[in-house]
Amino acid sequence: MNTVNETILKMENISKRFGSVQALENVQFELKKGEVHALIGENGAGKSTFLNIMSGTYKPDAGNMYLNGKQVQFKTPLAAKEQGIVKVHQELQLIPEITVAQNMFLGNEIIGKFGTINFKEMEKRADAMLEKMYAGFHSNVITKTLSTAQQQMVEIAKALLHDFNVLALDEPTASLTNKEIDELFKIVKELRNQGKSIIYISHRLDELFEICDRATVFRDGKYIDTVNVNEIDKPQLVKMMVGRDIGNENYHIESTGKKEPILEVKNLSGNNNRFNNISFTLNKGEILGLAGLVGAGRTELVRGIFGADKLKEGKIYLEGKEVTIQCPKDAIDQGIMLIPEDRKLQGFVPGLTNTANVALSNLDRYKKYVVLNFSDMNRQVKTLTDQLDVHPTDNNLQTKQLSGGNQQKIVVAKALNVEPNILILDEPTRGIDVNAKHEIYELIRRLANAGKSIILISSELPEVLKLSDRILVMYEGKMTGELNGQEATENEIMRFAVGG
Amino acid sequence: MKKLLKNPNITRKIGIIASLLVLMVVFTALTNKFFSVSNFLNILQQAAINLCVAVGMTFVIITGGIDLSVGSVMALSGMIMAMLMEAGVSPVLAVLIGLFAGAAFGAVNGLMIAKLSLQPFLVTLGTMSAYRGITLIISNGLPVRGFSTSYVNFMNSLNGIIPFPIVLSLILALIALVVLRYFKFGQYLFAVGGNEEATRLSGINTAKIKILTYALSGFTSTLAAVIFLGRLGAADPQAGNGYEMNAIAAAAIGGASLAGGKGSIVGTIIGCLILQTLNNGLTLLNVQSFYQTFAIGIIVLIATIIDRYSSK
Repeated sequence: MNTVNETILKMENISKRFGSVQALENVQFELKKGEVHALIGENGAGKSTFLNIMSGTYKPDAGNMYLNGKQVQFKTPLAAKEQGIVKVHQELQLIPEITVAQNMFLGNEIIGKFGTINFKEMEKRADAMLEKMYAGFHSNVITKTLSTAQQQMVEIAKALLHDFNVLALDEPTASLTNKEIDELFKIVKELRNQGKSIIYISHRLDELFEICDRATVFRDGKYIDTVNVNEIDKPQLVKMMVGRDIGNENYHIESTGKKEPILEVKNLSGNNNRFNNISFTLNKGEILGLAGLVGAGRTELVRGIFGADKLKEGKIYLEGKEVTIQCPKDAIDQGIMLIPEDRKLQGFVPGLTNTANVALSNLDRYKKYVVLNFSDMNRQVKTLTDQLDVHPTDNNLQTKQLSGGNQQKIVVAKALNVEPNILILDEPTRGIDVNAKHEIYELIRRLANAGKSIILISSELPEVLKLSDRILVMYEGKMTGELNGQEATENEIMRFAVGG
Repeated sequence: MKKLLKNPNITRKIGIIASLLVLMVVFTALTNKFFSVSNFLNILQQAAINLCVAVGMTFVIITGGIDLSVGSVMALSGMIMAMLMEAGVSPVLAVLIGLFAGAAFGAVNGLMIAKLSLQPFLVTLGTMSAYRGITLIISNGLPVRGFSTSYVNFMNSLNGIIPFPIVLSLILALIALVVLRYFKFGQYLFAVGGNEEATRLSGINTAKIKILTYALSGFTSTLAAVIFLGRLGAADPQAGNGYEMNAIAAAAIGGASLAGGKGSIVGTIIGCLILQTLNNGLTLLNVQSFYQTFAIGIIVLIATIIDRYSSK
């Protein structure tokens, strides 16, 4: 660990309010030269707002910011960039239709002799950076052909092209595979050795212990503490984040014995061969984990069952009877509901209120003659959002105004509102903080106990292991293994996930 | 009241109502011909056609689409109604057939947009020309007048204290307002415009919603044709040229966002009134029509700028 004690960035008494929500209140932050500094807290703790202030996207309502001891104020992200503060966004901000090299040099194109863009030089430099990251693809490919993880690598490579002093990484590993994470960590460590300062945001606390020197904790928009990572353990850190103890709960229950199949799929195949000849059974009151690497075809499979994409062939049986599902409405009518993988693109309508989003799937229930009965709707939705502890509690807020974890709760509330018998959850805890995760685990178990049947897709193996009664593993569109959830280990799952 | 003022939608509406009032005060000060019941009725009557078209356009824009074919649909269904009446069909039946045809023309747009996943701008750009072409072909490019007396008499017989076009357009707007606010269909329009994929995955038949929306746009354009025929006493194959622009302008002034998911009927009504008041006032002041065109452009730009910075 580098113990250079020179402070590069200092922020004091930063406050920011959005409408009625106090996102940050008097928070402070100090970043030293050559350190990796974790910024942690639950969803809605104010981390993203803080980074946005630091990188010039938002103007703070109050507070001072010092760079190398000099007071600064950034009016735009560009101004921050010019001072050496670079941020890698949580959400991908690449332009899909142009090449990786063009994306990496966007706004910073290398200009040749005649005022034309020197693509060759750009690709050469981009390739050099990608190679350093062991990215495994060239910079002359069109960006949209890359996987999400690869695009995330491009985002990071783009940031690294600039000469910077402070690099902020917001959830950089959320969609990366283990190998890619290893490569990213190597790069981060090398940057630290070069004396660069890195702010690291991640919900995967184990990562912090691996690469961070210090950690600053925010809770509900307030500063809690800054600690040396090697002087603290995970439970202590979690306690600082949520303000109470969260144990290592096990969500398994004793098997109820009798197995009653509710959903049976036979020889399902999807278009484009994303999954082939899949057969499995889901029992009543069971949590069925669906494990596999990114791109194994799990999402495509459940979308096929839900009617979101057309199936090539195969049959679906509900309680022994064959059913035809051609669109999501058919599935919902049959008691099947999907919580999709990408909450922002597929989960909710940003401009609608929380009430409207939750009620969207079954507006018929709130119909009185031909018009909608809004007081009924408000009351019923409120009961649901209170149960899920959605914060802030005002359901007239637009869902886009909520933090990621609370947006996910709205998506969950919408799904529960149709009272499905079978609930499919695709990466339900992606980008969500520990506390919200814990709440969603409890909810899933509660639903299963109440006799609902669950299909759970997750790329976090501990999550699958913690919850599933039974685990199916997919590899390249095929089912490669079935494991008992209580006895399975990460190693066993991984063996099947890479093809057996 | 404080809470009301915090709601950006309400402040926006108060803003455009204020703009309309300012416009009226200015014209009242500049000419004594402006402030009179008969002139206000005149404005409303002139605004009626655009209001009908703009109501359908508002629905389309809320879903994130656009309908450039409204003017051509108006001409085509107007021509069909006129030719039917000329052939001896009763006005009521002719109008019913025309409305059905107009909705069908709109539904064709919707089908291509929803089922073939084509871009609304391009589809309606195409049908704008195609429908106009059909109108010219079936009319041989000439106005149809044979029906005029019986239909005009029929339309005039509907005039009460307030002229029928005003009543018709306001009833249409009222129904649209109720549908948008209190009906399931209205909620779905905002949902489709805000995030179509999330709406589809919520179990809503988004294709059906879109087809229905464009069909409604064709229907309201035909209502505009019903008024137009009564006013002109003839079906002109060139009728409705450029009406799509006025309708889009009215919806945009009223706060509709071309990105979808946003818009209101009250806003669109006021948008129509602002455009028509401007036209009327400038005409009374004997300002050359070139300047009127210019002024309308400026109003649209101002509304867009205000919208951008008030929603921040």
